[in-house]
Amino acid sequence: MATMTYREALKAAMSEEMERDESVVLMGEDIGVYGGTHLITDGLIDRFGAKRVMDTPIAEGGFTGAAIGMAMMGMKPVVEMMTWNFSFLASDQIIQNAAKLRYFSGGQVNVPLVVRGPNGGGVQLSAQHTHSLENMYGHFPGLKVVSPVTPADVKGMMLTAIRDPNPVIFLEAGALYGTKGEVPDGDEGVEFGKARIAREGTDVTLISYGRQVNLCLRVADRLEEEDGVSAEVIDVRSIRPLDEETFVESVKKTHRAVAVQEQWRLFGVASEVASIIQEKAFDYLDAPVIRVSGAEVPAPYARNLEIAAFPSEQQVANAARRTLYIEEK
Amino acid sequence: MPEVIMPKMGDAMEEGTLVKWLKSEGDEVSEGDPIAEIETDKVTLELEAENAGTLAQLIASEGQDIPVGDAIAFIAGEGEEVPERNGGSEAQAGGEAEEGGDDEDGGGAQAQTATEEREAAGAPSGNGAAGGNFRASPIVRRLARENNLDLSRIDGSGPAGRIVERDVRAAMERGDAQADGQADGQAAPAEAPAEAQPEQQAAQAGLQAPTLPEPTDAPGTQLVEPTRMQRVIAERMTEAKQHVPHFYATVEVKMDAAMALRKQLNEQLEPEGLKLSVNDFVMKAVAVALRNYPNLNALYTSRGVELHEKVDMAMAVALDAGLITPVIRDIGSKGLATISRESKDLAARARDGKLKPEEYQGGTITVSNMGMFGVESFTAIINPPQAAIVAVSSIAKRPDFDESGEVAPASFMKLTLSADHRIANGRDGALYMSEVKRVLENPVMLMV
Repeated sequence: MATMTYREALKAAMSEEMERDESVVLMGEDIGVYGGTHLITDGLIDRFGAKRVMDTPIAEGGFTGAAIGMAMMGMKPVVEMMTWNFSFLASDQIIQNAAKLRYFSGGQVNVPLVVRGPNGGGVQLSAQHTHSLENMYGHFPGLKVVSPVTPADVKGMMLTAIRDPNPVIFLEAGALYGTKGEVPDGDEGVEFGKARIAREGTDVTLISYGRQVNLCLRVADRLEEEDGVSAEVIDVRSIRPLDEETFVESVKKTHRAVAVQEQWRLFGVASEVASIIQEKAFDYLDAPVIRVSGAEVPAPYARNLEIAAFPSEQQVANAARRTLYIEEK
Repeated sequence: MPEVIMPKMGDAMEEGTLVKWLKSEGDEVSEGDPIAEIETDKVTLELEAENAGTLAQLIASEGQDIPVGDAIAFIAGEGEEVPERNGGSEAQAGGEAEEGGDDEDGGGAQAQTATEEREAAGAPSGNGAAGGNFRASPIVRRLARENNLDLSRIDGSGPAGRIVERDVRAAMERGDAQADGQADGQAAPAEAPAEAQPEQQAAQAGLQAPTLPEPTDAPGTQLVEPTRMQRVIAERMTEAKQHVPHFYATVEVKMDAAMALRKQLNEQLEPEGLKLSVNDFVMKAVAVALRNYPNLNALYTSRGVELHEKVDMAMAVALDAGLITPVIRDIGSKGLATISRESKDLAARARDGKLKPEEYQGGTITVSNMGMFGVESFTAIINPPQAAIVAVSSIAKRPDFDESGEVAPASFMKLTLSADHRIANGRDGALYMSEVKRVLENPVMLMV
């Protein structure tokens, strides 16, 4: 077990897998000589050379398409989106080709591609550079979509992503690159489709993923302190495949649920979670499942407005209090 | 378009099983054609079409339990189409839901985080009753179901008086929300399922539910699902044994005179092809003796003991699938020959599963005869709401002292009364049984 940052864990996963497997290559804008805009790939060009750490032109559709072709021929490209916002330009390649080629070919062609990059907001990048795209990519069969929040998970899930024969959308918590955590040594892949119980509790279940999990953990502490309420926090971490069982079982135990997401409220992962809960745990519910989401506006630049546009501790705590029928604070 | 519904075949019937379809979807049917085989807790019978037309849709599937009054099929007349079931009400509900939707959608420029729309505001008040419906969370409804709670007795502390889990837990701790039994005619919560579980029944009765052991699943064992009839017998007998305080009184009846009379009568009746059974004599005697003991020909009801002038004699008939008690109406006014004819006919049709509901409902006293199996004596369980049941054992010949003190052979039969102590006391039971004995030992009394 070693303590490392989210950034270091991510880099460790990729470089270790590059050592093990020659077919793993990295591609992206400024990832080589410059070391990556977020320094995720810093120094890797020196270790692995420019043939395996490729600087690409500013043409997301083009280099993602090239990566899909390489993957079809047996390579394992890991493509960096400088931020996921730029993937809109590559989304035709991702959705129309990467997600569908295995299906079109009757299983004869795999696309072992990873597309990775920072997702979501919180660092004042304003409206065009602040999107949470998990619901968009999670919608398409043929893609796997994950959103790890701890350094341990980001390493373990990256190992699993590279080894997966299917295209994986790897949504990093961009605002958390510098956060530290314990990471198991060695080759510890984290299975997709398994949620993580980040904190055990008995009275209400807070369900989230990505950096909102940390928010939920703070809220759980606060609820315990201020209200004597024991909240369970579930980190979904794998959007597709989605581990329904873990949060459904949790709600059967706690009888109350709050689903938290950074993205906008309608058609989001939290809506999906709420819907599954009412389908599968209806008779256990003591209150409607409440969603806490981002404000229905393009993400603001101003710090105070940006903070106001994302779920806050107080909002999540009060949502939990509403499910418990206790006074809001 | 006419619906074919699960018919109510008796007061106690809440649902029936669709055993088999006798027609297929699309078949033409005429009025009176049997279309399905239905099993109630008592009988299996054929359901007949009440209308002619095309059997347009079979809604129920074979083996399914269907509540009384629910549609199981549609018969379409010419040019008719199968209606969309529930279509209308769903559409309506959808419209309402939309109306109650978000009002923040227009607030695009406001940097306010959108959380779930608040629920309809309203301070907790009363129990949220609205037109007999209660606002209650799903788990509350489940807890009410499982614990037989009456939600109208629980105050809701949630929004708009919604009853929430903590309210139910508190009420259960206080123990003041139990739904009444059926006695006061108060309907249990609407959610109560038709098929009562054993624990629920026990809860209803205020009794501890028996803890049933898990099957051993050992080699050489076999798990058998009880038939519907057997389940009903189990429920009713458990209820009777738990709720009705039985007391018993046994008499031994010297049957020589009755048997001599029977022999004599049967010789006379032979040309008619009729043969009186011992049981016919016993049933008649049980009825005749009731004249002076009206409280044993009675029903224990919610508003008191209902005494019956006429004796409607239920007779227990053993079936392979269980047992049933067809009724000989006003048996006191009927002669032995009539009783014999009716009892043979009822027993035969009971075994064939061909009894009509009115033929096995509403007895005022029951006779159960196991004489043919050679039992020396037995006690029977009262058939609620009746006050009494008489258990008839076999006739055995043994030495006896005659009037002059000489030993002589004689035939004896034991009769055991089980009576409801809420209705009758020991003395009534004892005097009544000695009257039955007197009548049977002086069988000419049966003729007057």
